[in-house]
Amino acid sequence: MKYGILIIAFLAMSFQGFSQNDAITKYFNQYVEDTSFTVVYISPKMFGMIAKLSEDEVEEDVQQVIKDLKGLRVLMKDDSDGIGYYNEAVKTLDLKSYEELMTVRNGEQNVRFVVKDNGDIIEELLLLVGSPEEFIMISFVGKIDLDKIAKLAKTADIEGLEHLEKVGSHQ
Amino acid sequence: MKKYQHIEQLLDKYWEGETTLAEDKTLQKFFTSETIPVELQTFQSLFQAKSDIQRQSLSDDFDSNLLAMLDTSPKVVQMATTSENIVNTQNIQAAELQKWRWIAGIAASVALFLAVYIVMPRTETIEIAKSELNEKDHKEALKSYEQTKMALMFVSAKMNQGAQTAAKGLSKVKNLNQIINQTEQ
Repeated sequence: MKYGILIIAFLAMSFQGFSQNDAITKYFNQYVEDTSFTVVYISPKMFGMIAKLSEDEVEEDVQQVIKDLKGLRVLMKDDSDGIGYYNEAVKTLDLKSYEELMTVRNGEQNVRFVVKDNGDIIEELLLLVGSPEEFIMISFVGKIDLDKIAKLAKTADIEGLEHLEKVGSHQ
Repeated sequence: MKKYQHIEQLLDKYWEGETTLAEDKTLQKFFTSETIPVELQTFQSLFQAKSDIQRQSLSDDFDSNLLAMLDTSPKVVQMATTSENIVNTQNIQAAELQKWRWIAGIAASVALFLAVYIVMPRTETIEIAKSELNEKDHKEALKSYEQTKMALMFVSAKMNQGAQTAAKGLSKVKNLNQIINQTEQ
């Protein structure tokens, strides 16, 4: 009985994973066959396998974020009119159903973060980046902890970012 | 002699077993009370003994005496207790058996639950171990992990960059230093 409930819960969670925004799936599938795009799709099943990797094969803080994820889609194109693709994506994807987290325009680069939440839990995170040099779309589904994700780059000590932080606070 | 003749006739009848109760009584009366002629004296002792036996009866306290003997007779009492003991022992054995049946029932349920909780996860871990042994899946999982990590790092960096851009913008506006110093103090 207990296992029955667990299986049902697991199946429900799996279907939730598959319920990645239809617009994203559609937009994503539109470019899957296009070899000029870099395409990454990680299925819920693959996330299940990642969870089985041993501790010495993964970094703990990364795995802490990954263990709650159910799906990942990445669409990338270099050396192209990124802004054109960016605008197309913003138009095609139903961004009204998302909550705007962050929009940054830094020079010619557009960065847009949007999330879809269910109460306190963020279930989907979509990042769009468009510049004259590149176009990037990243979509995460699952249980997303923004704080943990934000800390990843800090702990990785990405130069420049850290530097920028210091410059920002000591000017 | 006529009287004796009558007695002799009755005796003949008596030996034949054909006398009535009244005739029996006459014979008995004759042999116990009257003077008996010599030729009939041989039968006197028979009828006297017969009348003696008939006169014998149970004393009045015979019943109570017998009952008293039955009650106090150690053998009888012991027998009674033994049989009672047997009944008691049987009762106790039955109760004991009932108790053990309960315990056995509970033990069986516990064993069943343990079987479910121990055996089931074990089969699950075997499955996991199998999938871990699968080299192709392992490579795929590692590759996927790296890709996911890159995506996460990129997202994280962009988040921080966005925050930095905002902070930078603020500091350019004015007095961020003062604000930070104030909050630090």
